[in-house]
Amino acid sequence: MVRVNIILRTGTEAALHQAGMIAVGASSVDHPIRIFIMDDALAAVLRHYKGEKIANGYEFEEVRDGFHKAEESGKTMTWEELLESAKDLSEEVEIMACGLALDVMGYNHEELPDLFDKVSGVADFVGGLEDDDIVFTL
Amino acid sequence: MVEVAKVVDARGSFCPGPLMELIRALKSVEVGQAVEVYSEDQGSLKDIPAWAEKAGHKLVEIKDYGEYRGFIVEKGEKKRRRKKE
Repeated sequence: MVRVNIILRTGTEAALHQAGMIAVGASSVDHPIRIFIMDDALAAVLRHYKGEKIANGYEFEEVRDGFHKAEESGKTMTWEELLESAKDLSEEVEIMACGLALDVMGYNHEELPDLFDKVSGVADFVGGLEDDDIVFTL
Repeated sequence: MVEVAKVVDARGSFCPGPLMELIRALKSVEVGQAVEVYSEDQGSLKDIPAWAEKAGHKLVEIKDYGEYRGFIVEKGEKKRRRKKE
């Protein structure tokens, strides 16, 4: 069984949603998953948990409006729901916050939202890759 | 004839909502029992059969109710897999 790794750097709802979709798809068939959230993506997640709006990121209005309407009507799952569902489905979903990005932003590691399993470094994340791992960079 | 132990109504949900509902429902039934999930999402026609096969369950029937479909999936033994350290 391959392990799915996601390096998430883009701080938009579109990127977070994409990561959530990959995670939930992978966990539905028991692929272990590691998600490393860094830089703008990490700032976006932390801002979301502070109740702030984050950039949408969709390029075309039919996609942007379509997702907006579907989300408002409850027809689609948000990125947060997708990531939580991935964790519900599998015990092998690990979400990591980039320690460097946290330090650069002056964020206290102890105050991370429960979504995160740990703070990690890119060397730890990349160093943990194995031969048959798949890596998505978003 | 397989026993449908649980029916889940996921109409109104886009992908992957119906599949998530199905997975959660299958966790609550015994091996050999089945779950029927209602879905009007066109993607379910591909997602649910493909997932069932991959996950070791059996797609028993796809019922056509007109506006929506009912996917009856029988719970199978969990496929064994190699765990990463």
